[in-house]
Amino acid sequence: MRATVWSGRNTVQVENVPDPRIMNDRDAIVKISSTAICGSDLHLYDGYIPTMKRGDILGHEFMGEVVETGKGVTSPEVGDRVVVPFPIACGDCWSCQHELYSVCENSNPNSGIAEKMFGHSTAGIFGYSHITGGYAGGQAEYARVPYADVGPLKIEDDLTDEQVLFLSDIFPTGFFGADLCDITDGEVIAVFGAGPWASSPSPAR
Amino acid sequence: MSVKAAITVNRPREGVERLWQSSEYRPEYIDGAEAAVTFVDAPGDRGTEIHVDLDHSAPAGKLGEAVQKLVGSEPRAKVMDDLRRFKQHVETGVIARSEAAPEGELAERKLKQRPAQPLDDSEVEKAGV
Repeated sequence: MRATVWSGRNTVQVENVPDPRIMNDRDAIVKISSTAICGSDLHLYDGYIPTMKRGDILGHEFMGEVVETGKGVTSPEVGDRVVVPFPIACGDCWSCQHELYSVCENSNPNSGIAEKMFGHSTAGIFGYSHITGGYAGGQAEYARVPYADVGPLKIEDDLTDEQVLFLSDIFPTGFFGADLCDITDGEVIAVFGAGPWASSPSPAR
Repeated sequence: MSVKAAITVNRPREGVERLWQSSEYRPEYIDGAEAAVTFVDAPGDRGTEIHVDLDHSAPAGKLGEAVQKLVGSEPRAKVMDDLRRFKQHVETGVIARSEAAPEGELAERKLKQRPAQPLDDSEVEKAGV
């Protein structure tokens, strides 16, 4: 398949790479219909994030159709349309059970690297350096999605890709920030870092 | 030299101890290394703490230790690999695998990562996927 890979500082290129395959019973393969670039991808592009390797597939905001599932996945099913969240969460550790998905304790197979650098690992993340696991990202034709029964959000109506794609990252990220601040109706607030989501007429409303 | 490591598993102690003894879950490195392993109830609703105390003498003393750190075979790293894989297996049923680290968490892989792109056919067999 074709995929956008990191090829050094300030260098990305589209290359032929193998198609993803099921590696675990809880995996699914998603055929990607839409994928987005995040502001944080610029840190990877500019070479500020260590542990990138030439050939890493970028991208952590994607959606598409489930085309294959591992033996342990009952939902979603093949044919379902899903938006895939950027943190990879197992659903079974204490953190996931308390809705702290971004610090899932099980999904980063390079947690040793992250612990050495930060003291504690984050969850695994699609396409965001080897510190977060070295998972292939979603700027590609297909992606392998671990713990498919936990993260992917089924889209069951006729909303377009453009209307739901931002559920993968920037909408919940912006909403979470507002939620952490306990913003209530009628308050006057300051927004720092007015990227595409913060500049739009939500989430505080 | 004493190597200490610990992890918390989100399951009650009796179940964790039982799985630790079973052949399907028993961690290879810790088992073969004659370590003292203790199981303690974690505080609150957190499950079970597993504490591993390995009395380890590095071959060739300090130099040997430094070499082990470099190639990723340092004992504490290998103990943590075993503990993490046990926790993942017990809590989620699978070992977390990425394209960069297809065998799951391995100290030896830290310096020799694959690129984060899918494996081709020959690599899949080698990685035991």
